[in-house]
Amino acid sequence: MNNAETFSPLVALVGNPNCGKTALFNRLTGARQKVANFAGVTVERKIGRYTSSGGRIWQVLDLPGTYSINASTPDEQITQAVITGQHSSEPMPDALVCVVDATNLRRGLRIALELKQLRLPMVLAINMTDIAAKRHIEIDLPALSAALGMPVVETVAVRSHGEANLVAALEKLPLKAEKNPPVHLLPTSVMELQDEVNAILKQCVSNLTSASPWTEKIDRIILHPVWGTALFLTLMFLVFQAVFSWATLPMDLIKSLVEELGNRVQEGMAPGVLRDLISQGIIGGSGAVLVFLPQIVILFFFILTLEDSGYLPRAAFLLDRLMGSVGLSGRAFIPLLSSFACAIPGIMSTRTIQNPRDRLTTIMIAPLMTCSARLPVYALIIAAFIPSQTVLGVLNLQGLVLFILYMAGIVSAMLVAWVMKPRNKTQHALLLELPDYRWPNLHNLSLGLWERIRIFVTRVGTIILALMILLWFLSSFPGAPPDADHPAIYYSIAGLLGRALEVVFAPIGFNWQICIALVPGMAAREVAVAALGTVYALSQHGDDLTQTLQPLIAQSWSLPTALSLLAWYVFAPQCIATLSVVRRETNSWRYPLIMLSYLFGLAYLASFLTYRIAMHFSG
Amino acid sequence: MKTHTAANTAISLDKLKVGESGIVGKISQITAAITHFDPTLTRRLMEIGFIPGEPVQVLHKGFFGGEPIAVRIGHSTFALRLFEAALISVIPHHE
Repeated sequence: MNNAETFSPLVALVGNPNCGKTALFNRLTGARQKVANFAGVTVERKIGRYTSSGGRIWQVLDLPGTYSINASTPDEQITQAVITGQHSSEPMPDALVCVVDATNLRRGLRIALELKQLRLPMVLAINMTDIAAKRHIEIDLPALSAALGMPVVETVAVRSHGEANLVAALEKLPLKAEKNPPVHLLPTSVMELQDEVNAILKQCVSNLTSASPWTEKIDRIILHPVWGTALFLTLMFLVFQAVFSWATLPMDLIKSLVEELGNRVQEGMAPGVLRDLISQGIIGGSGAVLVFLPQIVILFFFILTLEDSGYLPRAAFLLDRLMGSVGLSGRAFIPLLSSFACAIPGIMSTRTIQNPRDRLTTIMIAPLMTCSARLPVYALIIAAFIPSQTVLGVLNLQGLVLFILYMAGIVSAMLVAWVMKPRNKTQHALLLELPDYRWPNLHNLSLGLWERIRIFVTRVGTIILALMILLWFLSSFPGAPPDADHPAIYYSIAGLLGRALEVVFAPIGFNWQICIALVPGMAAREVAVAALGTVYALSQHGDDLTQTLQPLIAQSWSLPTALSLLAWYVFAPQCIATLSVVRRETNSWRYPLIMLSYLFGLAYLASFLTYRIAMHFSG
Repeated sequence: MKTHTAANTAISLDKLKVGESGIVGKISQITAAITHFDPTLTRRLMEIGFIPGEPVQVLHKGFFGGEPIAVRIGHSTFALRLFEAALISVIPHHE
């Protein structure tokens, strides 16, 4: 009990998936949370803090949702190691909160009994009591508390102050400032635990059998083979429509703000190297990427809403058989959908796939989903080379090309998955929970979106910015000789590099300017557009410098070159961030290297074919 | 365990039709091939609620080949592939 004033206890939240544990965590900590990974694995680690009315600062750790603390999945291994004090870099918690869903105590209490053997100070938080009340489930809290031998409180994570009971109960726990020694878990029998739970429930809870009245009714349509599939397709169509049409206005706004800022700098500063660096390298470069923020926000708005409402696992149910035919699990749908925004969160969410083989296949094909970073490249080239005309009466040709590019990614992903599919007849478990439907919670939704925005903007502000500055230097030095008959960049380090790469890429129609842009594009695909901007800006003589990129490339590239670059970007192996996540996820260099080489091979092949065929037809 | 353990009436969960219900019997020992790739499957099935004596009902089946199936177990709903369901024996209700 020493140092009671400064002692800041660590409390860990443990519970089943879908019990509202993360919502409760959000309620406790608000925006004061840090999201990272546990050391060495991509299991999300969320830590936050709050100050109780007594002035004590509580650290709150949100552990991954598990059905048991008996470790069989990576998530469960982390949870087990942390709560038993055996994790190498995480301190043992001073207290535990076991979160259970009030409408599913039968499963939730089993984990509470498992946790009890750790003998840590502990509170049972019965969450979603608002829903339980609507279904007339009555829980005798004092009796339950006596039966379990721990304080029991009701919480409603989706309501403000719904966490108040828990905060009060935590304050009353008998805490020790010194850490508990690590413990070893004794093996438990699921059957014995369940018998114990059932006996407790019989005493303490009435009206156990009631189910969500409308979940079953909604599922009759959503899981229906015909209506469900039609609904799914419509929904996906609407999501992509929204991503492209709703985003136009904010994107234009960001674009004009960035241009305005660039112009101010251009006018306000004396001409010279520094001015060019700031206006072209820094503002132009990061602006070209920042433009995609609205699309990412809209896509994640839909993904988070669908996830929160309980629809995503249903989509996985509908797609399981189809995806199973190429050797994937229906569970792969969620990571692959996220990969349309960015492969990194997609690959990170593959941890919900228990089978290592299924998980690996999903990781390997995730970069083939057209991520939003490829959109700037597609948008630029399509606008410059594909005429905006109507085909087949209703379709816009530009939109059609974009659709084909997306489909090309999906189809090649399925082919790659099929090639990777094990040829023996092993079957993999699905074990996918279809939770009750609920209204998406605005508080959780906005916190989730804020998290995405923060990650993206930080990325623009750090990696992408640094690369743009580096590229700018490489493209500007050394300067051109006095008798130069090429633009200055031709003689720079970047120019030398580009010309060397041109030898490799000439057969697929890339000129040295494109080759230069591919190099910084390794770090982030969208940088290629900004890099092309820098390269072409520096390639111009004097007056032409103000010209925008699109008409410039329309003049200087042939159609086959443009189509070839589009085909290249369907596969686009160059994304260091993705490769490093794969490295961390699979814990070896083997898979990122395989990924890099297979994507590079496919990209080269696709571009070569596209270029040659286009050359043939254009004479 | 209650009295409904008339072993001759137990069938595997994948044989149940949509809407039919019963009580979970035992979880089979899994064939060597599956155990090799997924040794924790039996335990995981039990952890999500397939425990002898728990009520179970088949709610939906997928479009192609009736797979996967959505099953109400205890107070949760889970999607399973047919081979997983085949590991679970059920004593069906006759109503």
